[in-house]
Amino acid sequence: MDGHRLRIDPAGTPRATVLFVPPLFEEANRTRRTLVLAMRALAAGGFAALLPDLPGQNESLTPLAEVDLARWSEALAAVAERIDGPLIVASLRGGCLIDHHARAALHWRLAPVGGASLLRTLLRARISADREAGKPSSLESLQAEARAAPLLLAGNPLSPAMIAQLGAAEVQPVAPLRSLTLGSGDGALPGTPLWLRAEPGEDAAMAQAMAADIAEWSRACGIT
Amino acid sequence: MQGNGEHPANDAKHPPARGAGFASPFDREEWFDLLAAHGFAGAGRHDARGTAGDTHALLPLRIERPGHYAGLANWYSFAIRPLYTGDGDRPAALADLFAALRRRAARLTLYPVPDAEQMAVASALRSAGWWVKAGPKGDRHWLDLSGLDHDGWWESRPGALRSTVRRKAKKGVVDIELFTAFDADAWAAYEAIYAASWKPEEGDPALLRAFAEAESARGTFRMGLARIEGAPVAAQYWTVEDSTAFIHKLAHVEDSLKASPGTLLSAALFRHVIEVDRVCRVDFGTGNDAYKRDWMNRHEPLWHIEAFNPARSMGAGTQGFCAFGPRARMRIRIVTEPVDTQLRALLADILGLGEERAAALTADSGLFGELPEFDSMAVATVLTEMEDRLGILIDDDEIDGEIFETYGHLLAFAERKVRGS
Repeated sequence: MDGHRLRIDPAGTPRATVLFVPPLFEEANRTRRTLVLAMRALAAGGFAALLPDLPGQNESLTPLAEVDLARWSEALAAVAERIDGPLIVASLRGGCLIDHHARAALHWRLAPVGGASLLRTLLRARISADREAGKPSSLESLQAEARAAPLLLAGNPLSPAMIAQLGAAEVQPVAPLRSLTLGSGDGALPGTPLWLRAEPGEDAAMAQAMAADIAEWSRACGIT
Repeated sequence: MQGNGEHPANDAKHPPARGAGFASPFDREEWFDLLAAHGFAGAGRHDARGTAGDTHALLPLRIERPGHYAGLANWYSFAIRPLYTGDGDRPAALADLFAALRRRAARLTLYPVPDAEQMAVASALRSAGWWVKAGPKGDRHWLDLSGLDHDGWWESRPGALRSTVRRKAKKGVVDIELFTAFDADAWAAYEAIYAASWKPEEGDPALLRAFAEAESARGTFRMGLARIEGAPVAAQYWTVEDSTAFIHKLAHVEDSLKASPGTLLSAALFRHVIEVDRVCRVDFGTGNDAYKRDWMNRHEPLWHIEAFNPARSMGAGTQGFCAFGPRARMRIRIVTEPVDTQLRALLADILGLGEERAAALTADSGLFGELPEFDSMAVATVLTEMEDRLGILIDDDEIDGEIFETYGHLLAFAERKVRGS
C-alpha cells in the first residue's frame, strides 16, 4: 500500500469513519469532485471521510499495469483494517466489485455494476478510437492481445489478470448492506449518473443526498 | 372464452370462489358475467386459474388486445382481486395462476387493487417471473364502525355535517323513503335525478339497473329516495352483505341543494344499515370526492398494478428475447417508455445535456463529430447504456460511423434493435 489518501476530519472525535471506494478507471475521475463534496458534508455531520488511492490509482507509485482487482480488494481491506472505531464502507459502481474483503460495521453501495459491463465499454472505446485512427480492431483481436500483455484501454494500461478478472467480476454479498440505485422512490438516491459523463461534472445536491443517506443509515443501525 | 381449459376441476359444482376477508358484490361470478354481457370483456374474457394442492385461485380477466390482459372490472367496481376456494397455500395458488398466465399474456393491468392485497398480488406476480410496477392511483374511503354504534359514530362526525342534518331535518321539507327491494318507479326516479344532477352522464344505465335487480333478488338491495313536495330530488343505491354496506350511487338535483336532501338521505341510509342491518363497515368505493371524508373515518390508496412478461414484452417473440438469459431478464423495465424518450435521457446523462437541449434534438441533429463531448469514450458509454436501458445486445459488427452521425440515425438503430430485427 503506497499510503496516499484524502482524508477529511470533523471537528472533534468522529462518530465513525466513512471509507469511500470510488468507481473504477475513467469513472473515478468523473465522480471524484462530487465524492469529495459528499466527504465534506459527512465531516460537517461528525464523520471522518477517507478516499484512498489504491495501488495504481492516482498518486500511487505502483504502475497500474501491475495490479488487478484481487490486489485492489486486498489493499482496501488493509486500509479498513487500520481504521479505529466504527467503519462504514461506501462504494460506487465498480468500487462495489472490490469492497467485500474490507471488514466494516456497515456497507453502503450506490449503482453497483458488473465488471463485464465496465470492460465492454472500455473495449468499445478502444475500438472506436482505433477506427478513428484508421487501424481497425475488434473485441476479439483486443481480447487476444490482452491475454499476453497489458492492453491500453481509455488511457489505462490494464494487465491480463485485470482484464480477465474484470470480465468475470460480480458484486459480492456483504452485510449489513444498504444498496441504492439512482432515481426516485424507495431504495433510490436522487442524482445524475456523473460516472457516465463525457466531461467531468459536479452534482452538489447529489453529494448532500449521499452524505445524508449514509448518515441516516448509520444512525438507523445504531452508530451515533 | 371462459376458462383456459387447464383446470377442469374449477367448475360450477365447486363452491364459489371468494376474496380474502369480507365478501363483496364485485367478487361474484354473476358480476363478472354481467360485465361480460354488457360489453366490458374487451376482446374476450379469460378466467385465469392456478392451483396449489386443493387450493384454487381465480382471477377474471379481459383481453384488451392480443397479449394485453386486464382485470375484468369497470368504473362501478370497487376492487379487482384474486378469488380462492380452499384454505391451503393461497400465495402458491396465486403464483401458479400468474405463471400459467405468462404463457398467453405479455402484459397485465390490474386496477383497482385494494391496499390490503396489493403486496400479495405483486409478490405472486414477481415470484412467477413478471416484472411488476405498482403504484397508488385511486382512493378508497370507508367507515370502520368497530366498537361504535350509530350515535357514537355520529358524534365523531364534523360539527358542520351534524348541524346541517339537524337543521334541515327540523324544517320537514324533505320526505325520505327507503326500499329494500328493487322498485321500478323508484329506479326511474333515480335515473331522472341522475340525469339532472351535477354528475357526469351515467356510464352504463342498463348495466347498473341489471346489477340492482340482481342484488334485489339476493336480498342485499337498499335504496333511498328523497322528495320535496312530492317531486324526487335525491336518490341513492346501496347494497348490504357480510356486515358491509356498499354505497354504489348517489345523485341529487342541483336546485334542491338548499334543503340538502342528499345529506338527509345519506343520514337516513347510514342509520338504517347501522341499526337495522347491523353492518360493521361502510364502503364508499373509489374516488376522492371531498364530501366522503365527512362520513368516513378510513382512507386508503387503491393500487394500479402493471406487469410485464419478460419473455414476451419485447414484441419480438419469446425465443429471441429469452435467449439472452438472466442478463436480458433484468433489463425488462425499458419497454415501458418510448425508445425516443429513453434515448434522449441517456444522451442527456452521458453528454451532460440539460433537459432542454435533450428535448431539442431533432432527427437531423449531429452527434459524433458535431457535439464536442461526443468522443470515442462517449460512443462506448452510449452503446453499453443502450444495452442496459433498452434491453438489447449490440454486436460491435453492427456499429458503423453512420449510426452516430445524427440523432435520427441513432434512434432508428435503437428502435430496430428493440423490435428485434
